[in-house]
Amino acid sequence: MFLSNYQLFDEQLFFPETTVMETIVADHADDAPRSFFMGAAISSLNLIFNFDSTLFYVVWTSLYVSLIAVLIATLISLPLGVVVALHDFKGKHFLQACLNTLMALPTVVVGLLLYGVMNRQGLLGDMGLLYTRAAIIIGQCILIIPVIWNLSIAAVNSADPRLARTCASLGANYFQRILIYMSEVRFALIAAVVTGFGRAIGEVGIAMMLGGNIDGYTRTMTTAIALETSKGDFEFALALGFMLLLVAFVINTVLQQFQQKTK
Amino acid sequence: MTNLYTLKNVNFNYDAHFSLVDVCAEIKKANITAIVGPNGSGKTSLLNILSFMIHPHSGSLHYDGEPLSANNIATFKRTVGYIQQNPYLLLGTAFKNIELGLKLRHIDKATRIKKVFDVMQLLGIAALSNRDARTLSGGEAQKVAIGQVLVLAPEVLILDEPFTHLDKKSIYELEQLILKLKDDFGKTIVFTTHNQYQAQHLADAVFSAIKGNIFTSQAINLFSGDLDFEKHSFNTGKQLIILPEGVSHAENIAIDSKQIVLSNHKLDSSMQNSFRGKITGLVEEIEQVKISVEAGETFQTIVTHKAFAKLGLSIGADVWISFKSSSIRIF
Repeated sequence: MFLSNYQLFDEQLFFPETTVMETIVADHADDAPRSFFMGAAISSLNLIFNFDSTLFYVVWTSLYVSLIAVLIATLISLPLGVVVALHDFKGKHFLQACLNTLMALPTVVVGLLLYGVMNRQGLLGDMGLLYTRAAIIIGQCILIIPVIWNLSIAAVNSADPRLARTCASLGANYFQRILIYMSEVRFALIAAVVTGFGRAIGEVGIAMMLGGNIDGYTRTMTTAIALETSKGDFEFALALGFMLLLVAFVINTVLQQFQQKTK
Repeated sequence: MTNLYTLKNVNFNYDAHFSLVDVCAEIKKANITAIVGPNGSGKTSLLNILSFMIHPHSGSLHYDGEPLSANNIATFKRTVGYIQQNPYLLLGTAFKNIELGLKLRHIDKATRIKKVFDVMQLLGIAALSNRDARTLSGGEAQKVAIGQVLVLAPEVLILDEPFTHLDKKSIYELEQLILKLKDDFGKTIVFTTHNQYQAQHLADAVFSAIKGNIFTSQAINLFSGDLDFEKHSFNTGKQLIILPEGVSHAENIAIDSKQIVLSNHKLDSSMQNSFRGKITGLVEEIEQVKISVEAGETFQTIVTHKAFAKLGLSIGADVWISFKSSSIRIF
């Protein structure tokens, strides 16, 4: 009781402009956690449905950075995945073991290593990449190339073994064969790309360390959530959390529709 | 009739394990050839060689009078259509599946549509055009797979086990289709089957495949049994057949009918195998007479009409059969 009174006093001392919501929180100390969360949830939905410009700019930054990263990573790793899967060569198992390991690469490690390269004294220091969107894009690319590469190898390996012979007997040349394979396992390939996108848009380490969380420039959904939560703006953070979930939901729904269509 | 394929002493080994041993065979143009044999007998390897997917490790292969070389493989390949066992159809409609080969050859759309419909008409599957290939029955899928290669107008059609997984009606339809492709379109057709009877009634020539050995003559004497080390001989369970010296392993032996000499009395010759037996069957053919002799095992021999008349043979007659141990193929 004493503790609770002390807290109330303390809060009022440092945050004199107490809102109605906070008063309710203080009056019902027992159900405070739920009311606090519910209140914040309602406020966050208000932000979303009022199309709060700050909120949507952060969402847009996140989508922009991650979509470009996925596009570049896909262009590199999808063909590599198909080629690696269709060939037997020395060191293939080693390569796959490496890719498996890199799939679990911690984002802060990518951030750390690239920070070492991109800071003023680093190898690419002169390019002034650090704390730009380009830096986040490069970092996310490195993060998800192993993911898309490895999953597309698995996708092509999942193709029916008779497909090789069908390609051969139809007289497909090398590139035609690759295209036929990609078309046959397109659902698994798209799933690989979506997994990569999921990892990129949900990561926080790279965006924080290489982007620097600059308001209106490199502030992404995840870095904003981290910042706003520690600042105490739980509503804004929660709104971003909802948006992040919404992005994931939309993408998975589209993927599911596609899966049903190709079945 | 000219030979389309001529194989001489063709060998192919797969991981130090022989899958084809000294194959000598001829396949005639516009003929149906069946290859009969159990799994792992080298049937599929032979089909792969005939479709130029793999190349003999030794021996020679002539196709349409030309020897196989690095320069003409691609040209040869284009004239052969291969339909694999339980064929795989791509995602999309039956039409798209048949169209694909033409697309890969950059043929314009109008020509593609016409060719695909012609082939579908021929195969009697025009109604399936817009059906999703994954929803077709076994027989329908088989026809679409045939359409897939037929649309490319190959000279040779090679089918690996086309009749497995098919119901009776589909088997009949496919048999009629194979005959039609040969009779009306002059296609050369090679197929494999487990069914000896089907091979006999459908094909013009039947090859037998056993452990990588391909026997082109129908009247081949095949025996399985054990090696008897002490007697240098092969025990079939009913007869002891003397083998050449130095044989250390034998599970099966084959004796070409033409290598067996038939006589009225025991011959005084260097031939180590000589058995007395009774004639149990006579089949008169255009150039020769096929004779079955019961001598422990039943042996098939072939003699000319002239020799047949000279020996004065009839059913039940006592005869001697003789053959050299060096004429026995062991595997």
